[in-house]
Amino acid sequence: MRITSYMILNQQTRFLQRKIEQISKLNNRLASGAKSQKPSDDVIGTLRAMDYNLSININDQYKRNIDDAASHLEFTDKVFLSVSDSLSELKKLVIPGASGSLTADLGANAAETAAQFRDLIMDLSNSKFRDRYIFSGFRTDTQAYNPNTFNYQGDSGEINVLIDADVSLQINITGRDAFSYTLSAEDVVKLSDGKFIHYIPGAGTTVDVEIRDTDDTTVLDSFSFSNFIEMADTISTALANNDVPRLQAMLKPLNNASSKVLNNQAGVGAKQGRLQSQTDKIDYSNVDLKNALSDTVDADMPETITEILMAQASLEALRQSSAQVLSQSLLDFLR
Amino acid sequence: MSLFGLFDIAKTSLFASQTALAATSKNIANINTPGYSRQEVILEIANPVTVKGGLLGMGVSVKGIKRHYDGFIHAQLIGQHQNYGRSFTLNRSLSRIEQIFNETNNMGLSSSLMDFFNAWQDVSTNPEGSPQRMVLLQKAGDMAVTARRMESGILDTLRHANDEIDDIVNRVNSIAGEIAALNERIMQIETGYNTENAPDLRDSRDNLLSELSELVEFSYFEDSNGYVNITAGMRNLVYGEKTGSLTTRINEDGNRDLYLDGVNITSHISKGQLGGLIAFRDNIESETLHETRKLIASLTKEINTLHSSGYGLDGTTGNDFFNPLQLSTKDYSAGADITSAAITDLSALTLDEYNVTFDAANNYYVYNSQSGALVTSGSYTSGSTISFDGIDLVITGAVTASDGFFVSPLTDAVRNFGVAVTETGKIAASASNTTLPGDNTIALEIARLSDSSLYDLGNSSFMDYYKGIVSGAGTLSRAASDSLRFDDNLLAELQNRRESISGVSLDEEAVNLIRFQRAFEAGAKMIKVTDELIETILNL
Repeated sequence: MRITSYMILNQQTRFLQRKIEQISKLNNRLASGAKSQKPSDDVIGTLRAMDYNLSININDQYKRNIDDAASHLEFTDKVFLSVSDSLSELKKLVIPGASGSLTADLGANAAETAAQFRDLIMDLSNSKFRDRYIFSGFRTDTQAYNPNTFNYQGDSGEINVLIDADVSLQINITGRDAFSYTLSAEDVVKLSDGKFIHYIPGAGTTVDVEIRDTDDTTVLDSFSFSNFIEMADTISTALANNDVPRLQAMLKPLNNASSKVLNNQAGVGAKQGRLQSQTDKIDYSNVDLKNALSDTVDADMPETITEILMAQASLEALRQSSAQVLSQSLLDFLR
Repeated sequence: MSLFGLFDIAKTSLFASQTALAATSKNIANINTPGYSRQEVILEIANPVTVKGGLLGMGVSVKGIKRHYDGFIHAQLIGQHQNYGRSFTLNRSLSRIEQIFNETNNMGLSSSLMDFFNAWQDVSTNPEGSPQRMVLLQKAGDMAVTARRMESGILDTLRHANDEIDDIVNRVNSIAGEIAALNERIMQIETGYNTENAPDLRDSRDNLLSELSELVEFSYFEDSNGYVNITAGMRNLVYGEKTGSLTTRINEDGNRDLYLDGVNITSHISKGQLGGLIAFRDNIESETLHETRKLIASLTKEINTLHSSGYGLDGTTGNDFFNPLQLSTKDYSAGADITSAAITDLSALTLDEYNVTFDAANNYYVYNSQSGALVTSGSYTSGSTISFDGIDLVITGAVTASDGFFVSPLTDAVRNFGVAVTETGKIAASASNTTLPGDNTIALEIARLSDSSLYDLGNSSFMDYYKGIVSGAGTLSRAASDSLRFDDNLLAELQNRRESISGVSLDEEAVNLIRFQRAFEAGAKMIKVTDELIETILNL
């Protein structure tokens, strides 16, 4: 094949161009630290990186949700602890009263103390966390219990928070679940003096209490309550009046209320554990994802530098040979 | 033969060497001229005369000047230039589109899409919180701005492509004119000769052909007059000394179509830069642009459907979160008009585009313009409502069988994309106005939309669909740059082969220089010797 200097020149130019293009690409990689600069450099890698980024991003969001939920639950737990304490204190007041060993003076004092606890439970049921009433269901701008009538003002709304794809967790406990006294069937207690106490489920969460004589038919006294606040109120009034039968009648509901609070605390604890394990899971998965992302998008620096050095060496050689081949023709030797 | 005859022989030698030196000199001078074919002087023995003892040559004569040239390689080069032109423009335009979706540098929509749905999650964990709602509005606004910027980026690139088509058409016309002019001159010079007698003009014409082939797809042939005739899209662009006129017209879609002597040849042009630009335009419009609009339309539809079913903190309901989708229509009818087009049932809308056509019996047919499936049909009455897929259409006026309308909920989807809610209190997180403000049901449902597979998007989620768009743009660009590299290599190889035959070699020319210099010197010496011979005779 006939070869002309233009052909050699042309070829050398293309070689040089290609080498320089390669070096520029490698330099870009080095400067940006990224394997590819645009999707077409590595379409599959780009999509994979998008997936990883999306998963990391959504995991971070779940973590934010979980943090939110965890602090909410922690606060709820503290409230339950105080409620539980209050109920124990009430019991300490009721036991002497129920045995009839209180003097009028002490009774008045105890009544005053019970009223304090009533107000405390009232306040606790209307706890606010981050400006939301936590026991009011969806009605987070309304107090859960009316301070005057002791009636529940919230609804039964369950506030759910996403903690994983398609996994949500209820973070609130409605006032009804937390503070109402619910009774599913009539309950009867026979006292040591032969009288009977009947606990009868009423409308809503109301419990009607009847104190009957030894014949179990004559109703001596009856009253009702529907939540912890009303219970405390009843106790306070009974202490003030030294109403021994009523105090006796309140012992069992108090015990039940305590165990209900305990159950709720256990439920909150279980949710906290669930959140913790979910956090751990997300943390682990994020570590994996970030490693995978780095493998996909980050340039291998030592390898890139080596490649640049190699490309530079071959570019230099090419330049040298070009200089020699291109500069000479027969004309240089004709004298 | 007289002694003076020697002068004549020597003289032909001087002339021949001088001509050959002139050719060499011209070759050297044109060593870097693109498209130049090296020339060689063809020498032959001058007509011999009869002398005693036989025939004696009367020196040398120049038979002609030969151009080293291979028509077959040239034809291949023309073809390859056309391929290269297409790959070149495709690669350049597609890499621009790719930059708009450059997720490698987080330039695209994915991060704002994620932020948007995350903001809904934040609202769901704190439905009554004003800061979370403010952030949501801001993120939604950011996403809308990003989407609109991406669409206008695509539209700009398409507009550039159309402008470029116009520029290239002008260049094609001017090159065609030059070729026609050269045709005329070559014909004038070569008439009566059997050989190609106008090598320089032919080089120029070949050069113009190469230049033209990078711009537009054509086929050509050389006729017996030495004319090169060019046809593009089966119409004559250059025929002899005349040219056809290539023009552009803007069609209904706002794109420029190519017309050669009044006939639309757009669909015939698939190579050259024009072919590349047309292919680019069609690809991007039917894929990337269409899909981007569909994604945003789907986002608007799904979020608005859920959002308008919920209640804001202020107790209002039925509020759109994004600006509602609007129908855009195109009218291909002289007698009838679309007097109203409205989306009546957002949930029934399928995000398809429709063609409405009529037949001679006054029936209307609504076709899905992508799949071609018949959506609905019936008897046409002017002013009555045609309902399909959640759309109500009223056409008024007399129609003919050639009339048509185009209806699309997608065309304006991105342009109108924006946040309709301006007050945080109107963000509907709650499912009922009696359970405010802690109810996060709707906010949760919207947050969950990010993972939902959507029928309108071929059962993929927003993010998956978007990834499809990115991978489409990346793959197109990758394929274009691969074929550009391939075509470039092929072109270089062909150019090398052409160069091997037609290129000037300095070494060769240096040899020729010496060769003819020596011949010239010898011829001169011959004259001197003859002179001395005559002097000898005169001195007798």
